[in-house]
Amino acid sequence: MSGLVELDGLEVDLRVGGSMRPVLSGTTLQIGRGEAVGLVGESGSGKSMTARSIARLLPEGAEVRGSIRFDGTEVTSLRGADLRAYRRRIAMVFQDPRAHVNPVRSIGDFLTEELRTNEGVPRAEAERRAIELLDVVGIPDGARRLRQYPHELSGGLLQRVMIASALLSEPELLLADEPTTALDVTTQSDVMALLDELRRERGLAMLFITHDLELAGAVCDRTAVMYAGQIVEEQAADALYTDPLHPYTAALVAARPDIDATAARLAAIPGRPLSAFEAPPGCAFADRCPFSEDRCESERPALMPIAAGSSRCLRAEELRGRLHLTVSDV
Amino acid sequence: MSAMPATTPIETVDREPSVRGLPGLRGTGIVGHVCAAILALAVLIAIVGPLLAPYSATEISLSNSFVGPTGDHYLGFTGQGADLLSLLLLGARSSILGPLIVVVAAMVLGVVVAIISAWRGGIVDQVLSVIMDVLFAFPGILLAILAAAVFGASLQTAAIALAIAYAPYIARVLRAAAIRERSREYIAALEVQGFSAWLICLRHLVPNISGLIVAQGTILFGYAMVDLAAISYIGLGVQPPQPDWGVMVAQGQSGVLQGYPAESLAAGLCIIIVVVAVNLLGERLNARSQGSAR
Repeated sequence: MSGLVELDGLEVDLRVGGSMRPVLSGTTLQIGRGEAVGLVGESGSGKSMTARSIARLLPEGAEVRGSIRFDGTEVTSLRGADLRAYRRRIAMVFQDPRAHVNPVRSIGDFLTEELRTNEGVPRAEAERRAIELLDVVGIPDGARRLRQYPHELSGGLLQRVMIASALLSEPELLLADEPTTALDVTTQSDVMALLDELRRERGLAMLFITHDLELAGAVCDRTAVMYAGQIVEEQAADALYTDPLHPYTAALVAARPDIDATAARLAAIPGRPLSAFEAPPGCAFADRCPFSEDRCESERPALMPIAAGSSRCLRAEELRGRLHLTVSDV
Repeated sequence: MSAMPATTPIETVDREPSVRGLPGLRGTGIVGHVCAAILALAVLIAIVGPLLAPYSATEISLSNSFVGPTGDHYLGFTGQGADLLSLLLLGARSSILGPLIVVVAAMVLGVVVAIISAWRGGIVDQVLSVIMDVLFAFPGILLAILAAAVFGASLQTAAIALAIAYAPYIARVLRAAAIRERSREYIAALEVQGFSAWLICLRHLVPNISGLIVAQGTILFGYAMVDLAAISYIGLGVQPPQPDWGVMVAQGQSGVLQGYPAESLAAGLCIIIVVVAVNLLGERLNARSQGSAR
């Protein structure tokens, strides 16, 4: 499959107090046209950094190696007008909508600015299109909303506005960085359903970042699991529960609370998540893994294709099918 | 969950749309409003002063030297025998126009440097900061004296020299604010939308620090006025017989020694009233802009 987005061995180092620390160490990922890919993992595993690398929003002084191709074009070396043209083909929905909108500009200004500036659409026409799209995202009285300011809207409503804004420029790729984490639970499901429906309707590719394995499973075609700046497993979203290919995924699945089961204490993964810069020479997950052997400590596994997905585990083949059951008993 | 209708409207509280407006006088209190009124009056006099002045600056008769107030001459005469009230009214123009040139020029320079520094960061920021620090070491008056020596003494020369001397001060304050604003996430969101840096700066970044820009400009006006008066006092700014409050303070000093301080006092009082008003207003605008910064 020729992907819309192809990350190949992406390594990103950030400057932390004078020294460079890796935050991504060899991320490889494809997103096809119209495909939704979930990216899950614990905090600090590099999910957001992956999305920000694609949008070229890395902090100052970041060092990037490896390649990011979008529709065949190398993104990491884009500059000036080319970079702006590329950014118009992608859109990003952020975790906290309130922080990502200029608080002193009206919703109308915010929604129509891109159309008016980049595409020369007259104001009245841009507003008409914005009102139409607000209706699509479930905000019926768009004309009035356009005159309101961000502080007058609730978080859920503002996130809908952000989604409308993301769709207004008709992008090819949507980067959704935990779009529902800052919202309350009922609003979350509304916003998620909306995002899912609109994306399918428009054949939009999406990179969906979340902590929520189940959510990723519900809206994504494929799911990639990140740990310590690397993708450790990647396969069809619905197979992740039943047939995890990496012990880390299996442990995540086991740690998820189950509404039907009564448990005295939730299962947890022993130890703490590692950041990419702390990763040992061997497998990054080795010292928390119930299946680790001596060679796991010394030999760094590569992301190897297995079944319909891929896994970064030395024992992936031999553990296949046993992971799910064994981990929940640990 | 994807079966849920995507068009569920969300109830929200209906509120009056807030008015953004230009940085006005809201929240500056009675003092702020009084100061603004005094400044408005001063600017009005600067504009229409020549129409109000009953006599011209060159209507001099030495026989009236240091004569006190009379029926036609409400403030009496200067040491050179000109009408004091007329001189004050005529002098308002250059005394206020000068600082205005300084403020506008210094603000434009300062804002541009601050924005470039904050936006580009890294080596560009470091180089600009070093240049600004070097300029910062030059006292404004010293630079104005140098400029007067090279380009000849005039109000324009002095004003431009002061503007260059003040720009680093403005740039330094605004750079910090611009860096803070630059790091806010809505700027990143705008970048992803494919807007150019200049557009984001002009439409979003600069307007969002405009409160601070106005406040700094107001405070600078007071400093510039005192400095320009001082430069005129030592004879390197406005050249007599063009009327100017700073020049009047200088010319009145012989009168002070002879026991007739009216000219120096009156011109000095005008300077003090305007500068105090500007500074009080500037302080209040500054406090307000920092209070509103989240």
